[in-house]
Amino acid sequence: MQSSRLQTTPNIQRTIYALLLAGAIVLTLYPYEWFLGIDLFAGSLLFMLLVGLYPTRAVLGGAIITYGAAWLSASLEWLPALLYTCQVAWLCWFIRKQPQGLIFGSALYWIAAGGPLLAAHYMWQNGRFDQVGLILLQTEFIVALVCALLADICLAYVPFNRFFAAKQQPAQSGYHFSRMMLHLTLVVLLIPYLFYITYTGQKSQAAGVQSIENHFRAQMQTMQSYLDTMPADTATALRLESGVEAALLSKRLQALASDSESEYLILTEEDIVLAASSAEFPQLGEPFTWRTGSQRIIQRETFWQWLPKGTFTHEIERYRHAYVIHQSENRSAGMKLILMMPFTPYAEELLSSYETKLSLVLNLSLFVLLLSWLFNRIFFQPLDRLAAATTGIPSRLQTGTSIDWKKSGLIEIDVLINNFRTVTAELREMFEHTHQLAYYDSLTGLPNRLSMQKELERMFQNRHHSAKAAVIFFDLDRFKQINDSLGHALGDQLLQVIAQRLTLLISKRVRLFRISGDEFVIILERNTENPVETAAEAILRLIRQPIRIESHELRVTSSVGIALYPEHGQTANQLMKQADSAMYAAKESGGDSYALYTHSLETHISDKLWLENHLRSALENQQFVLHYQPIVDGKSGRICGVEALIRWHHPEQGVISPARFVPVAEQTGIIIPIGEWVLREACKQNKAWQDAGLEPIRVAVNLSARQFHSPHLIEHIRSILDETGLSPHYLELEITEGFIIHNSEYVRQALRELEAMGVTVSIDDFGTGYSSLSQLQRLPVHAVKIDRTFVRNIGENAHNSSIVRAVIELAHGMGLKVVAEGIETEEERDFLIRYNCDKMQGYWLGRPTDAVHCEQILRQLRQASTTNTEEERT
Amino acid sequence: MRTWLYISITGLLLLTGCGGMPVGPEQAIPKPGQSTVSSFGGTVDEPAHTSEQADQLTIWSYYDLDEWTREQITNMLPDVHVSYHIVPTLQAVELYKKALTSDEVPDIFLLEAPMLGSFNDSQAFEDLAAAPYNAETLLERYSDAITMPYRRFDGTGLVALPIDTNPIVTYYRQDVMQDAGFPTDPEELAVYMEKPDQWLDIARTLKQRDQWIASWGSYPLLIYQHTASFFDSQLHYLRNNEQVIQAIQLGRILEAEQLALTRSMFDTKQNPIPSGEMVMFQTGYWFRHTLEELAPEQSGNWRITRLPFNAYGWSGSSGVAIAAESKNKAAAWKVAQWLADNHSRYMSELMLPSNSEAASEPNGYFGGQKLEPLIRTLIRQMPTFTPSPLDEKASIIWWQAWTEEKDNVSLTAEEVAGIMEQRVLEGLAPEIQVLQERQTVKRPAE
Repeated sequence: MQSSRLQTTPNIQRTIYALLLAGAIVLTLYPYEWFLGIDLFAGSLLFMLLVGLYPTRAVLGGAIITYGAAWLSASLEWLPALLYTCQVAWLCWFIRKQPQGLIFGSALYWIAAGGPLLAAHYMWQNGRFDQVGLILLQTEFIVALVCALLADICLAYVPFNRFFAAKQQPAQSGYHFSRMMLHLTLVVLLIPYLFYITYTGQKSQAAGVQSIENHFRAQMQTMQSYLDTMPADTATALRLESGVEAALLSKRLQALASDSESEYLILTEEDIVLAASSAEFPQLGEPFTWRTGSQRIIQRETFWQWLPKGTFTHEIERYRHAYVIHQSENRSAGMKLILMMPFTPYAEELLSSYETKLSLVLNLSLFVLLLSWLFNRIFFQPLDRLAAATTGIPSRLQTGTSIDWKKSGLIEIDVLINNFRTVTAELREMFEHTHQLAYYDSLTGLPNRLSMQKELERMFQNRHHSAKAAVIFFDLDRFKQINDSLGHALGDQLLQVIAQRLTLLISKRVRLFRISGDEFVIILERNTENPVETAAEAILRLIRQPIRIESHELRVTSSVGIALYPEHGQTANQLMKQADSAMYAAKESGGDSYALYTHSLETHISDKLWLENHLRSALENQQFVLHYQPIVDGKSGRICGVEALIRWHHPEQGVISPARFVPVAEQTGIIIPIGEWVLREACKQNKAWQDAGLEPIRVAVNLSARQFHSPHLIEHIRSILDETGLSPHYLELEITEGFIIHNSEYVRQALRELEAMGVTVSIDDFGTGYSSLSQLQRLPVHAVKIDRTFVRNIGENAHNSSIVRAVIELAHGMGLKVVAEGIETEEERDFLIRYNCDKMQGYWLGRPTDAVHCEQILRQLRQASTTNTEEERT
Repeated sequence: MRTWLYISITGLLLLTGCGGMPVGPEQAIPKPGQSTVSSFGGTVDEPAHTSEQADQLTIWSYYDLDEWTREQITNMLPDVHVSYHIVPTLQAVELYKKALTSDEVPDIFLLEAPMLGSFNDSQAFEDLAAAPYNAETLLERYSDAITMPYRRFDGTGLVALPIDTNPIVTYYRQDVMQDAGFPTDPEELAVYMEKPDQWLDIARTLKQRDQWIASWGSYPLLIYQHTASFFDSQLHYLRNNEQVIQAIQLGRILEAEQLALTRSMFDTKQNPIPSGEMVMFQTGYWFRHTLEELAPEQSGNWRITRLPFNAYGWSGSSGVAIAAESKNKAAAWKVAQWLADNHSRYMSELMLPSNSEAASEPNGYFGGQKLEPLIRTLIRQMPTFTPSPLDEKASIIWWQAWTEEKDNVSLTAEEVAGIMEQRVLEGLAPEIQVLQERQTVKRPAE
């Protein structure tokens, strides 16, 4: 059921309540007289509205006051007053259970309780159950039904809250079809028929009145003509109240009365009886006032309707004992003629007519209700069940609640149910899969970060006063290098093995999560028997054990950070943050150790956190700049290119080294937008130099692993080149050997596409990883950059010298150019030139400098080159 | 909510299980006009002395009240303007009825006893036996024969109070009787006339001398009329008996032999009494004063005796009634009471045992005859009856039948009497029936 409860300010609620209650009281104390003293207590309508709009206590209180007042003022007898009050109480209860059940509730009440009690009361009062009792019962039922119908219509379709609410509340919109059907059927049946009953009833009454008038007219004519033709002396004798004449006249009146139901009286002008058609009336000389003895006299057009005094079990009885009276005067005779007739035959006729009509409408109403109930049970109830079953499916799937798919027996609905069942089953599967994906790590099968957060939330929600816990945060030391060098697949296998080992720790009080990459968290309910340090050591020990994967025997260690609850934090975020800090502390202390969070760690790890926090804003605030380090041709000694190197100019902290922020950027993933910015900026600058007339040179840009493995790598590069207008031949991308170590299909494909595009690719920091030149043979790379560690003191270090010489020779043998970096001395340069190193780079050859300064250098070199050329020409 | 429900249900069960309206006998339901089932509403106007027009009093009478009486009334009601209205005797009933149904109803009516039949079944006059009049005490000294004509026909209440009591008597010329050779002594003559034939002899004899003893042929029936009512209290017809048959026979003879003067003795223009044509007639005792005034020159020749045929009856007894619609009932009652008292004293004196013949005053006009002993005797002989409400109508039919059938020689007197009875009973059958029904109801003991 649409919520009808008023959602408005208390003042408006009170005002509406007072108005409805006042209306109910007025309608109850002053009911509408439908016909023959049958009152329609329409106050029930307003009470039913109150039932739908206000709390039980308020409604029931109002009902007790109203019907109590009606009983005390004799508007209602005690039982009807009680039954009406009970009806309100019943409906209050019933519609809380069956929100759309106002009509059925009313019908049920009058069928099961109100009707039988009223009938019993009538029999008790009258000693029988007759036509009047039946009419009263029928009327009560129909009035209750109509009131319930109208109230239900108001509650269903009148937007009370829209009228009165200070702030509109979101409510279920739309209407129930079953309810509308019931309303429509009952309205179509009841309302016109009640109008018909009222209309025909009034017509019947009018016809009765006409019949009475005709009867009176005929009788009166007879009487008047008799009096008019009466001998003068007889008239005189009558006026003198002659007994003989009066008796004769009475006999005449008796004769007239014997032909009809009428009674006749002839009175003097002073209301003294001269003659009467019945000995029951006062006799000659006695006064007679027909108004005496009446409870009420209703004036009709030509007669009066006389209702007797006295207490009747119902007003209908009063009408049944009523009289219709006509009075006229014969002025010539100085007499009044009174004609009286019992209203009983007319009342009986009207009652029979009403009873027939009421029976019909009642039976039809009951039939409609039964039909509606059956229809509801057969058709709408399955739909409702289906609606209920399909309501909140996501939450049910989440909680794993089973759904009861009851069959209806109706093919169409059963098909619908089957469809829903199938869809729900599939949804459940999808949900479970999604749930698995959302809450479990696909690689290790361990609960993931989301699970951990929920577990922590759950822990805090159900926290006990004395509960103590620990969050143990740990990751693998140098996992990145393992991953980079041995490949992700191996890294993944490593993680699986580690996870498997760690599951040994899982118990009722120890829960393990893999939250990302190589990061794991254990939530531990700690006690004296299980100190957290023991757990940390167990973790270290488990991870430290050698691991054999394929042909590799790996020895990995981990760094463990511990935060204690409640000492180090009261929230999940706090604890995770502190544990993370502790883990970094452990890592910074060399790894393979654990650290308990202390406040002093805050300062220590603040740099990393600071970097994390400021990297993004740095990009947005254009705090990054590119410096360019010249790359010199080994043979000519001329600048043949530049390597773009990022620098962070922080307004407060000054220049921040890439060695400080790049790892953080790598970890946080900010490296991707930073890398894009670098690539774009470098291309743009190179093109600008070219446009400025400088000799075209190649600009080398470092690609991070994340960038390289981005599925949009080629697309982005092409886009940047298009955007800046730089020819791909003037772009060189530097990748580390870790990128290609697995020689995966992706790597080969990416490199081929870059080559096809015209972009040169070189292997940076060559020699530091596990790659070999043989691995490069099948890849479209153009050059290798020998790491500075091999170049340093190259002339003095024989080991390095032989490595460098071998790399140069081998590279050249494979058609690769060799670039040496980190050249800081003339000896180093000379050594490399001697062994035919193609290009060189280093502080001795040129420090990294900003674009402006670099341009100047390039311009100077160009001029020098030009001068030399001219000199040579000269 | 559950608690409320339980409380409601428990309350309902308790209330339906106890108390309530008991099933009693069928309720008494009033009908129009009934304040309760047993009694109809409205109030009966109590007789009261409260007067709406206390300064006026109207007295209607069929004869002129003497000066002394008027003077007494005036003295009695010094602040009241008393007016008198005299109506002809023969039209009195009709005029009285008109007056009683008019807008200005007179306060007091003086009525001859037979007239009361036209009013003793209606509410035209106050019931003087009822409070506040309680006039029964005034009648205690009277015999039923005197009071019965003034009662209501159903025997309840008093329509009027007697103010004059007059037996019907025979006035005759003693000198004429003497000349014609008939008895002259009142009692002797009365005895002589007990036989119809002898009465006829007187008529026949005096006719020869152009002297008459009957005004009309119906004279015997007229005499009889004073002796009996048409109906008894149970509406049984009383006028088909030997006396009536005899009267019819005599009447026929009078008609046949033209023994009647065929002129009224009350004729004011050519009254046959002063002229000496009418030498015997029957009327009320009251006529003695009129006779003195009518024929003073005949003083000493007239005598009074009882009726012929040994009959006794009333004529000219009158009573006083107060109109129910009188607007000055207090004054009216004062006058009525005085008149009744006055008559009562007269009657007391008349009927006193000490008032013997010796004590009676001889009447000069009637030749020194002592009248009171005769009247006292006659009063004691008077028949007891109340005129019926149908007498007025019955009389018309009765005389009509007589007129139509008297000359039918094929009919015997008995047959004529039968026809007269039949006509009356047929003509008044509905009235007789309703009266009989009422009388049966009101007088179950009778």
